[in-house]
Amino acid sequence: MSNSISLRGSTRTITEFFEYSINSILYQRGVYPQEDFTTIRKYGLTLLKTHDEELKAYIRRILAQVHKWLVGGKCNKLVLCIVDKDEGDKVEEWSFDVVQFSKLDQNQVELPQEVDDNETQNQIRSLIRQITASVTFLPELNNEGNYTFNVLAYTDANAKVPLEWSDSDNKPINNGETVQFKSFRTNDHQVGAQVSYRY
Amino acid sequence: MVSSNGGSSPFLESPVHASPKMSPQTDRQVMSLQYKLNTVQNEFEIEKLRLQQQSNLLDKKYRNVVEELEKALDDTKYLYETNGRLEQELSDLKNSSNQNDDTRDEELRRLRSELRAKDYRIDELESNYQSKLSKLERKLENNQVESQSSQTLLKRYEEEISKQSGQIKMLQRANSEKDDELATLKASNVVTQHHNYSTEDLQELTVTNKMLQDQLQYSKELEEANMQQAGELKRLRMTSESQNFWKSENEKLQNKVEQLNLLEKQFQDSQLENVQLKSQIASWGLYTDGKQSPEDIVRDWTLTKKECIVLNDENKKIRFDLMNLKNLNDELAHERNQLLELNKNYEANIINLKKLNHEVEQQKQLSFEECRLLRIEMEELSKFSKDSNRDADAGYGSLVDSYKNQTEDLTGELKKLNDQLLAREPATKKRKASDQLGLNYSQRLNELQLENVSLSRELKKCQDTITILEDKIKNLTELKEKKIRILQLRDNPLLKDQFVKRKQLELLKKENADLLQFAQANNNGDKELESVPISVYESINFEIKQREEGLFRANKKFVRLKEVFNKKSLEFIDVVNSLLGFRLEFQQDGKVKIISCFKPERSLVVDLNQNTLKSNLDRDIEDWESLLQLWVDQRGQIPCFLATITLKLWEESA
Repeated sequence: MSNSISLRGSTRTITEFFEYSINSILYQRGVYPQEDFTTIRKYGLTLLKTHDEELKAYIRRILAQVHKWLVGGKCNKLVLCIVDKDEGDKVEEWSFDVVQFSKLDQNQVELPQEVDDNETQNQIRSLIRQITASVTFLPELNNEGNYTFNVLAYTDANAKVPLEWSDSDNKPINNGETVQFKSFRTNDHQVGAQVSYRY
Repeated sequence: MVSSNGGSSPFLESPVHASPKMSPQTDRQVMSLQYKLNTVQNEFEIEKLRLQQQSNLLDKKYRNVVEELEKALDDTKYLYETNGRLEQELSDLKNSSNQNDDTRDEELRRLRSELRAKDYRIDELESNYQSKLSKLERKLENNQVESQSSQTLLKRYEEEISKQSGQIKMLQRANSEKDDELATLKASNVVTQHHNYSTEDLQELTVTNKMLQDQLQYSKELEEANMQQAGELKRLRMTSESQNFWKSENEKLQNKVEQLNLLEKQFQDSQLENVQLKSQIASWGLYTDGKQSPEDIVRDWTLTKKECIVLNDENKKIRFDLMNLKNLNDELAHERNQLLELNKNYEANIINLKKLNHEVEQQKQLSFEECRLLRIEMEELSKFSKDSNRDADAGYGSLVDSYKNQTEDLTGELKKLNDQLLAREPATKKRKASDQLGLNYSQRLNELQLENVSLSRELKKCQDTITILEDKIKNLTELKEKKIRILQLRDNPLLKDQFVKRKQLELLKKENADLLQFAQANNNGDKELESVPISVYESINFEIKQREEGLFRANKKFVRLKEVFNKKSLEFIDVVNSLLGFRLEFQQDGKVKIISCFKPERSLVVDLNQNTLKSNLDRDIEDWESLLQLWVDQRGQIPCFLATITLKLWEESA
């Protein structure tokens, strides 16, 4: 029972992190205009969150389902793709790998020690700082407003998929470069992040 | 060299007629002719010898080659036959080995299954017997318990009976005591009441006494009967117990008998099985040569296996040898082809030589003819120089004779040679036929081998392709086995955008096509219609919708910007209010209302258009007019004026 509570808590932390990460990326990369975002305090940082109802509803729908999958241990990756509207090419790919410790083979992998919430919050803070700071080295996206995005969830084949979700594919970026960010850890999960961009 | 009149010699064309006189020129001619004849003769001999040598050499070579060829052919045939025989033996061995293996495997399987069935049956029987034994033991225990309980019951009954018999004895004793008392009482009664009783009474008393005695007797009899019945009852009980015991014994025995029957039946079945097994073992013994133990069979089997392995190794070796032989055969066939080629060349050379021989023969004929003509000439000449050259004539005659003899000898030899060649021709023809057969065979063999090589290459290629395809299938199945799905929401912004673009493209395409069609129709008909295709309308409608959506978005953006602006304005006003102590309200007609934070109900109204300042603060500040005069009129410093008012109002409020 306590494990279940821990898992749900961990999953909620991850889902919340996804929400703020997606919002931050969409703001930082200018996929949506600045005026669609408002500042809020989170993780001891000033972050930006959209107040566009349509976008909020879309992100909420995604994260509600991702939360369910994470609780069931069915989701192992979430990818945010930024796509050029004219070309239809993917220009950036922000991927978040999720490792659930209970799914690992305990004989082969040594499970990490327990981590407290403050430590997790610190790790998330540094990760979001890295995401924010990545704007400095990422190539500038010209024609602001000419980009759209898509969120892909990598799940197990036996995951229960609602009708509003469909299968997709994800091809790597041609001539792309990848930068690995820090990761954060809860008692049940480890989340890593990386960005790939067209060089 | 052969001329139209049958010869090439100049003598034939222009024979020198004998002149009546022998001139020195004629002598010289004769001399030169003789010299020529000698040279021709020498050349002929040299050529003949050379040809003969060549012919001999060629013949020798040809014979050697033919012998080699025959040997090679024989070797090839022998190798082919050996190969076929070995292959046949190999296939026979394989077949027999496979058959033996199959039969042994089958037999072994059958025996194992039978053994398993027997084991199973034995287990079943054992379990049945054990269950029966346990049942019997349980029954025995029950019976023991029952017998113990019946014994205790018996003891209890005995005790009861003894108790009751004791009671009966006591009662009898009491009865006898009572009888004694009664008798004494009667006697005393008789003694005491004797005088009172009449005889009748006495008689009655005696009667009653008798009756009582009778009753006593009867009671005694009854008691005895009772005792007897008790004894009988006891006996009957004992008999009933024994009967029950015997019944139970009987039942047990019957059960045992039934069990024995069953056991007998099982025994019979086992006997039958035993007999069958023995017969099977006996039949198996046929294969095992009288060795009855399974160890022997297993040993035999292992030996056979080893033998099979050895045979397989031998087979491999034989195959290897066969491969080597095939290679050797290929090489031999190649050599054979080369030899046949050489043979052909030799035959061609022989034919050429024959032609040369024929030409030489013709030359010889011509030489004979020339000799004859020369002889005639010589005879004619001899008539002229009979006297002077008699000795020389004799020398010429001998020379001519020797020449003639030599030519005859040569002719004979040539004839012989020709005969020999002619005699050899059928043999060569025969050889040719056999060679042709061998050639065909070797060619066919080569072709088959080449075909075999190409087929094996194709097979290898196919196998490689199969392995590649299998790897691909494996990879694909592994990919499938990874079982990762990449999912997206159906109505995501990307798909929406793509959908809109696709729809726009389709509409534009349709519009384009319709317009083209429309333009063509108008060109053909020479009639301009003031109409457009509906697709144009649809396309424009869609564009309008898109524009509307864009407008909606722009409005949304504008509203948001306005909100941001208002928010920022409010922030600004708040800052101004908190820093300067005045709240500014910008009114529509270019007026600005300035409200002090210390007196919110009062205000200053600045009209920027008319450049006026009105206020209702003059009532609260006493020297309003003087302050206005000083700071605004004289010094022109409105901020200082406002600051002074603020200070004044603060002082008032404090």
